[in-house]
Amino acid sequence: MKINYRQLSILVFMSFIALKFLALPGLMYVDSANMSWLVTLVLMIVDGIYVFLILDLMKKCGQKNIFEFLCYCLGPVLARAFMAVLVVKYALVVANISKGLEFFVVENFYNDLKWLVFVLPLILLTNFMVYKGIRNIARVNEIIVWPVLFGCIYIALKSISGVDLFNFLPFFKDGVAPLFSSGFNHLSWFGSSGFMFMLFGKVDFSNGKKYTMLKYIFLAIALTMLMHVVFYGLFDVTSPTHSFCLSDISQFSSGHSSIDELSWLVVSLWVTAQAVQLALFSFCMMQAIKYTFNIKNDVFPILFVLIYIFTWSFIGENTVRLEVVFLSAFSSIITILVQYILPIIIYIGYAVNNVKRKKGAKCKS
Amino acid sequence: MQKLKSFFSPRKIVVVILLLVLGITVPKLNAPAMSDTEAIVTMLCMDKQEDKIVMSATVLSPGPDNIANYQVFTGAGNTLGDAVEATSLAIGKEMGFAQCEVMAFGENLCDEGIMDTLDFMTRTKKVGRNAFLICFGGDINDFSEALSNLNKEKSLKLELIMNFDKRYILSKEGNIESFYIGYFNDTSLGIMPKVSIKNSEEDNAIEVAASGQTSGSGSEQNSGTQEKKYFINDGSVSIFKKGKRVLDVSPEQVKKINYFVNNSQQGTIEVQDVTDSIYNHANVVMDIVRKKNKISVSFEGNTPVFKSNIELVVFVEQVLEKEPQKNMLKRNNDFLTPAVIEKVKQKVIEDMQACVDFCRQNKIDMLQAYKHFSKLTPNKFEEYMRTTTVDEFLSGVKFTFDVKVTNEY
Amino acid sequence: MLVDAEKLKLQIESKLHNSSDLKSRSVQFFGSNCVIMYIADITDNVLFNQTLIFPLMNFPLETDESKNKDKITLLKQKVLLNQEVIEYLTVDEAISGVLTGKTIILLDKANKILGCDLELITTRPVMEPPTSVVIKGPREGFNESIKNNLALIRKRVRTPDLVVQLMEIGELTKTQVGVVYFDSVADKSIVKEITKRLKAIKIDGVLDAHYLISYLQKKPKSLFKQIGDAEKPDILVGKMLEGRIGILVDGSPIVLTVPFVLIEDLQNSDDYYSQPIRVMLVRILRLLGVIMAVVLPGVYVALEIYHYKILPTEFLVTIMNTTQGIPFSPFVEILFLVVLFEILYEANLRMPQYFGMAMSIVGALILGETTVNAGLVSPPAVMIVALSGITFYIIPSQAAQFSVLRLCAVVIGACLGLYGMLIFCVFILSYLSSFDSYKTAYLAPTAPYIDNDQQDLFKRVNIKEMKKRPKSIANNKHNLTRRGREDDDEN
Repeated sequence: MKINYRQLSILVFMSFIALKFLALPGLMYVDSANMSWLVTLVLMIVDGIYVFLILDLMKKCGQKNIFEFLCYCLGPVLARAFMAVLVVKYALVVANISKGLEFFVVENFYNDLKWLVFVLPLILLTNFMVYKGIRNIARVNEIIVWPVLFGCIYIALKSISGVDLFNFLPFFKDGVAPLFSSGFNHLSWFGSSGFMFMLFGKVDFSNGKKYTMLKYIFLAIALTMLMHVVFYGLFDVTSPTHSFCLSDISQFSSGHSSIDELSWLVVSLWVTAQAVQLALFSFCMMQAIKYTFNIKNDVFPILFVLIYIFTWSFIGENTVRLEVVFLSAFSSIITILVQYILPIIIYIGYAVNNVKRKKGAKCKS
Repeated sequence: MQKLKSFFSPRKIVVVILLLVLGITVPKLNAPAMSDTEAIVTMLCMDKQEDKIVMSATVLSPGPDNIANYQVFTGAGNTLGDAVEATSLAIGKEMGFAQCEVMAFGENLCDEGIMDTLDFMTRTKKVGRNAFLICFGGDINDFSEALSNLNKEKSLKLELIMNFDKRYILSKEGNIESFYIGYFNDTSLGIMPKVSIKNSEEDNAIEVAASGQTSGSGSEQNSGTQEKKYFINDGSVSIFKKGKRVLDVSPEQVKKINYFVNNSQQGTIEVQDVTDSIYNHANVVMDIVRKKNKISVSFEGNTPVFKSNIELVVFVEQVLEKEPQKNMLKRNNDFLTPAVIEKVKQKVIEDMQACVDFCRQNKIDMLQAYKHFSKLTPNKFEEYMRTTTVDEFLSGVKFTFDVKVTNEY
Repeated sequence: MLVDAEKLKLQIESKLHNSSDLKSRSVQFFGSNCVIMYIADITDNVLFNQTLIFPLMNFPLETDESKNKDKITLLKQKVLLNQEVIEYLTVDEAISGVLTGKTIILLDKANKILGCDLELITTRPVMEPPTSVVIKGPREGFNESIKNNLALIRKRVRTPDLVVQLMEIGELTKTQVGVVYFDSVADKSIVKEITKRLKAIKIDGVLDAHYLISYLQKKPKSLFKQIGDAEKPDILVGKMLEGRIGILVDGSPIVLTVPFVLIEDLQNSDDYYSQPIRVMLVRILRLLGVIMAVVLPGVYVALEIYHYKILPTEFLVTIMNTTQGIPFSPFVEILFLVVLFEILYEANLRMPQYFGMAMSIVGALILGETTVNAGLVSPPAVMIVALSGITFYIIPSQAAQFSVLRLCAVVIGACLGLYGMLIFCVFILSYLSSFDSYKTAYLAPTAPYIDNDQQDLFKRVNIKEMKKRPKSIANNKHNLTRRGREDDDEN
């Protein structure tokens, strides 16, 4: 069940924008004020660079899955340790998406929605999609990508006339230090391309066009920047009070009436896109659990992921504020480890191993 | 293990969850339409009377054909929550504020401050941040009644009137969001359109909308009065500082302030006693077709300088002349003679200077000078602000004006 | 064999339980007894007399040539005037022949039985099928005769590349089933799989092509259609040119096609005879129509029960004014109308044609109008269900699936609101994406995206520009370029 290069690129595109259009811009404004867009831009570019790094590793690993490849590069102990870290990373992203989606749906569509009524259908869908595998998730993404892209552009362009570019001035008023702290605090919202680890050995590169990935990464960055610029341009100092970038922008895109019908359609589309993203990261979490605990079948890892989503919905309903978890240094450190350090370590491990093998071959000859 | 695996097969999980979902949600199959169980509030008026919050909600109710039918309900309480509850009790339904397009505040409440009310309504009651804000004078019941009657006439929706007003009043949008943005900025200024109600027997100049009988909805609150009520919207605005009303600005003053605001595109200029080859002591009235004010800020030493280069494109609408000259036909080629242009320049500069004086006097930065300085010359302005306060900073700013007037054609 | 013709006749009659329509006639041929057996109702009398009886009776009793020849050979070479004369070696074979309309000739002490095809083809004339009407384009449709249908295909395809594989399916009906494809275009492994599946069918009888569908489907329990169909030879040949395989069944005017992709039903034969821009518009409308048909009633119920705040105030006023006083909940109201619509449809479909118009008037005008006037249902609900009902038939071959999905959408809309509807939509998308039958993805060329096949998805490029066969359908990948198109490159 392999996916093609284009499908992988679309998965990257969707995962790049998945966490960016809800609470993130509002939360970032608290730390980095009107320069938040720059933090987003830089982190997304870094993510983009890492995508190519992971892509290169993917090509190097051939038909091996990530665990086999890590075993080859780093040995089984380290491989299993990294798998465990990946489980944590994916778990954080799954929780972030599911809670974000819950708030988004409840606030935008309902007066009152029981958490159980929200979480059960979501679990149902996630179970089905994870069970069907990555190819299924990739295909659904392929269908919804263009409506989501054009919908977001529509919402942004409709509101762009209200943007006050003065809101972006002055540049670096408080220096660059707040930007670094903002970047660190919100790292868990980035590094979404970490899902690619679980696709090692599952991508068919044979018919891929050269610039497809670059094109989609560029699109993702451009779209995110467009949305964020419109958001900060519209709301300025009130940005932290806006929890849902996408729907809040569209609220102000139609003069003084409520959100227009087409924008509702886009907001609805976003819900579907988020649900598919949840399935993607649940799939990754399931795979990581399988490798970590050496489980052969899919049933128990899937069950674990579903219980995890269910528990989050229940806990989040009663006590924990999501931001507390996601803005914690812990989640940022996990992201740094998985997203930015792991690929480099694998690279080094791979290179060292190759040199060793070559030497071994020479000695034998 | 194998047994356990087959016990938890994905298909079984799907079936179990599906049954659970159906079990939980089946009662909803018989649920009535939400608009039957919730009162749809389209307008909300609030004021403070005798230490109590009085709330008046205009509620959409079913009627014949496709005409909107509105009922007005009132409730009062010591706190805002109490008032909402009392109004809900009067209606007999929970209130839904999603369709609330207008929030009106009485003068008393405005004087006390409205930020906590706004916060309660937007955060707890989910009033959309794009709802209009209005400050009103007079009795709350009369006001909400006039508003609900106004809404019966589709062409005279308050929303439409406010949208039209955007071009005259100073506020950017006139909604909750723009009020918040103003409040959270350093100057803490907020702007709201000001309207009032007058009875039919009183003579009044500007009638925006007239209503007939009161809504006659059968609610206790709107029975009794039989006079016609006039909704007065003369373009004046109320200025809020830190969420409290500090002063009202007359329409004439608003026009002067509008020279500094690019969003407001319309208005008229009247220059008097123009005399040249084609005018003879004429009063010339011009329509401002387009306006662009290029504002630049700088520092001369330690003195902040606010430069306003305004470009006006005008169209001569009316010439009032007692004894027209014979060659008045030449006007057809160009109404905008150098004499007229000079008079316009003088007039605009006078108005702008008057506006600056008004702002300095009342310690309100309606010109958004603070924003310009802090955004464009942040370091020097920060230094300058160490010597003064946000309220007083305007007195140290030097203003220069340059006016360019062109004809539309 | 080598027994008397009379004895053989008795044996055959006994095997056919002395069926009344089995007729026989004895004549003398070279001094031998010759028995002709046939089933009266499926034998063409004129041909029988002209090609069999007349030559037999008028053959000279003895000639020099005839003396030296075997009687069976003589019959075949000198007497019988039929196009095709079959030789049966066993009685069972001969019986099968008789049952399929052959007339058999039994000769005393002969080691073979001869059979002539004198079948009387009783079938409808070639007409335009009711569900594949075109404005401009061929109007010929298949009918219930496989021979006739094959003839219609052959008429359009004059190439040795066309392969027809005939087989009999049905222990009792012995229905003729034909697999047709282009040898150089179709994927051989799929042909093999289809023939294997068809040959493995154990069934009493096949009365229509739809009997075979469940044997050919990869997921027989699925709601969604997995086998395509065609009612017109031009459509079938068009599909075959893309690499599909046709399955004809005697007695059915529907030809099954494999592999099937969902987008196939959005395409219409008319599309290929119209302007490309118009086609693009129509195809988008069809897709919108399908979405509306399925989700509109569900969305309406969800909006009414949960999400009035989404509606603009003016629209809400209309809804509120028209729904006031309705005694039912929104769900029951819509369900009532959906069921009513289905009943009307069923009744209208089966009612004699002269009742049809009256039924439409009763259904649409009287029932609709009076239920609204009586305050049982609201006008928007009637409008929504009517709109959904009409849009079903933009794609008539999928109407059955849509009506089930519509009902699910109404229940989900009432239980979970718009969120449930959205999850439902993703679920359906995901389910369809996971369908792969006969090496073909169900949602291709959208998911997976196939660049080449976008030429005939929403936009339809000019026929001249369609140089490649669709890659989304499993076909012979080494022969993707449509023949005769290579030269066009030079232009």
